[in-house]
Amino acid sequence: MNPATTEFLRQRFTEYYRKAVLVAPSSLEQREWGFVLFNPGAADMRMRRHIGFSGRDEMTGYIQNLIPQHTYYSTAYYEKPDAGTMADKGWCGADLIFDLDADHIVRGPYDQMLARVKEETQKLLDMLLIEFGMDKKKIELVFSGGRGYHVHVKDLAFRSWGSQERRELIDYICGIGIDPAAMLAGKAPSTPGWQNRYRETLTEYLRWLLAIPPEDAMAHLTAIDGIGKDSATTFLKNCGELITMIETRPSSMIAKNRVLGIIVSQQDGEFKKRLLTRAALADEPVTTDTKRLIRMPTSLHGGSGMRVQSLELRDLEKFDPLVDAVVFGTRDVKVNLNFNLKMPMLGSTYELQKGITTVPEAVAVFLCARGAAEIA
Amino acid sequence: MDYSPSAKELSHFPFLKKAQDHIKKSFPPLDQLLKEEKGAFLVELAVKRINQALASKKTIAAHFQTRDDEEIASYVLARIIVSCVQDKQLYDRLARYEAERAYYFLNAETGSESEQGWNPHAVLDDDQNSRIANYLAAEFRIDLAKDRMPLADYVEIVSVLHEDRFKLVNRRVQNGQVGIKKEELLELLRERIRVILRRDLPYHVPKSLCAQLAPVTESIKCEYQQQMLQQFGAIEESAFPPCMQALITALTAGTNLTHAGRFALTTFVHTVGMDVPAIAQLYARSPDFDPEKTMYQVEHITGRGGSGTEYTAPACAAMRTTGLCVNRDAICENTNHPLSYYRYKKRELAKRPNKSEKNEPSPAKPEKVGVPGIKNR
Ligand code: SF4
Repeated sequence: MNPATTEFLRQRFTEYYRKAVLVAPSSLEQREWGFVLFNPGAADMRMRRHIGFSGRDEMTGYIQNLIPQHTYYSTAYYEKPDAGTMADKGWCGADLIFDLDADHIVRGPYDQMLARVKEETQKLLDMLLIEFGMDKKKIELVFSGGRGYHVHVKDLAFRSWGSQERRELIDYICGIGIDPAAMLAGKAPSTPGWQNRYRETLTEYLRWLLAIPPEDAMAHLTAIDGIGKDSATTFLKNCGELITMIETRPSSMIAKNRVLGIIVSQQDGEFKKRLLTRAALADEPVTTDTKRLIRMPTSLHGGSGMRVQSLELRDLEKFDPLVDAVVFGTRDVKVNLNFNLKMPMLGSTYELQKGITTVPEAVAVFLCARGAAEIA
Repeated sequence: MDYSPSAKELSHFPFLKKAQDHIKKSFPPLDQLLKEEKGAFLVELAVKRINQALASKKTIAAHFQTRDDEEIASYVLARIIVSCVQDKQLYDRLARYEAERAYYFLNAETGSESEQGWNPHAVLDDDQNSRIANYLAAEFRIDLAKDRMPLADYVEIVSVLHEDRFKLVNRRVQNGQVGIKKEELLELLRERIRVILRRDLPYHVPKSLCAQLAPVTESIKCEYQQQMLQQFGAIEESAFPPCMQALITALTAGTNLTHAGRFALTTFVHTVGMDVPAIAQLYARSPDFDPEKTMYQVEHITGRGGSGTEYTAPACAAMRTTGLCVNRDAICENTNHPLSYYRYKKRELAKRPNKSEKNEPSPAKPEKVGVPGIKNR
């Protein structure tokens, strides 16, 4: 990013922070803050952290004065948030965080990544509300300004939890550590949960095996380590019976079938792939880390120029980041684009050619922030 | 409820609030007591308790032939003593012992045909739970009449258990309630007792009091170290679990490990007894080896650095989440911690020193071996 581009972004951010109403997090005084500043010369991102504020005005003044490129606060609550070392801060708890980032889920055009990560977010919210029985009012859903969503759960019940406890939840969400015998034991409950997801996946997989040409099914099975021709043949013959058993007479004994056992424990196998489509692929380390910094809602994301935007759970479905989290206007700006690009924003789709081109300000900010263009 | 536990019942569950109220008036202040003959006797009882907690084979005796209030006092004193020793693993051991002890007494209250129970006055309800069992469960917020418990309570209990069946993902979770089987209730109660008793340790014991107890704490420290040495002894790299072998192989092959990989390996080899220079040497095989940085990191993780926190090696569950559990073998099936894998295999190797390598559970084919914890660059 050249100095002119940096200056352009800084000015746009300044304009935003002058007018914006910044929303402070709960227990503001107990949070640690971290900022990355616009710094054209610097080789790497340097964060100013270990900062504490005594109130909302101080926080707003600081941000308006500094115009940070990235703004974060701690998910943790501290006795002394501005102490220089973690040990001195006096950890007193942390919000429970789930992070859904398209980076960990799919690659592809930006809008498609956003659409996909939205599905994962919806699955996560369903698990939190229906299975974990969490209180809607204690869940804050935030578009990260980048490629995903953050879910902040501010419930005292989880606040003092360490990584181990949080791991139980994230493993549940991501479907990690599933024991086949436990999944197949007993009558399935009427409410959603892993037993149902597991059985659905398994019968779906077995039906798929029966539906594809037998030679393909054989090829598929024998390609798996530990399954020979004979056992594959027998297994295919028994497939129908297995499906009936799973659906009508479930029992942990089913998991004892040797071939089935191999299939379900295969690391990147067909079954696992199908099963994981029913999990919510949240990023595990974010949840188990009790001392993370997270982007402040209502701040701007320096890598996209979009707003870190809180939204109501019921609005997720129709939320369109490329409209709803865009804060800049339509004034013409000339940029020099590094490559051809097609992108939707503010309801229009822009087909842009490499080289110098004129685009609306909002698009220019986005492209410059992402490093796809420089100011011309 | 007009039920109030008897002194005898309290002595079997000395951590109950009532139990400690019960002995408040029986003894003089501690610094005074320790100077008396009675104090020496109680210390002896407490040490017995701690030794029980440290023993690999635990025997649980209802009473060390003592009075109810002395029994309770020895419980308190044991906790004070380990607080003076200041060793996290010792806190863990003692808390686990007390919880196991309580579990034993809950099961042995009414006895069986062959054995007499310790509580002839036990009255059972429809669920076969006695009054003291219900009383105790209530103090630990578990309802013995229910087949489920709130999610948050459940997770707090099981997050340190390594058995797959307790993992939340393997449970029925409906609307914030986790399903449990009747026969698991006492087990979960035991774990809850352990969690709570552990959480309250260490006590803040005045320095002067610890000084008074110094001879005792010293001998316990020695005893304990001796035991650790016996358990792990000389380092046997061939007994390392596949996940650790893979990390070392990766290092030797000249790959950089991820943070999680480095952390797991360092804490593991540290616990089995490698000293800091030896660990640093291990890392000297890696391409981005920076002696100073490595020493710093190793010292930080092993608690020799300024932080003072000694990290423990991650369990298999954590290894799985970070993608470090690779090439699982037959021993892994019954393992929930790389350290228990090591302990087990080391014992096995010692048993049959002449058995050739071929008889080991065969690892996955080399070309399929995933290299864990490596950043793809
Ligand atoms: S099961 Fe445990 S010991 Fe075995 S490879 Fe995995 S993490 Fe290591």
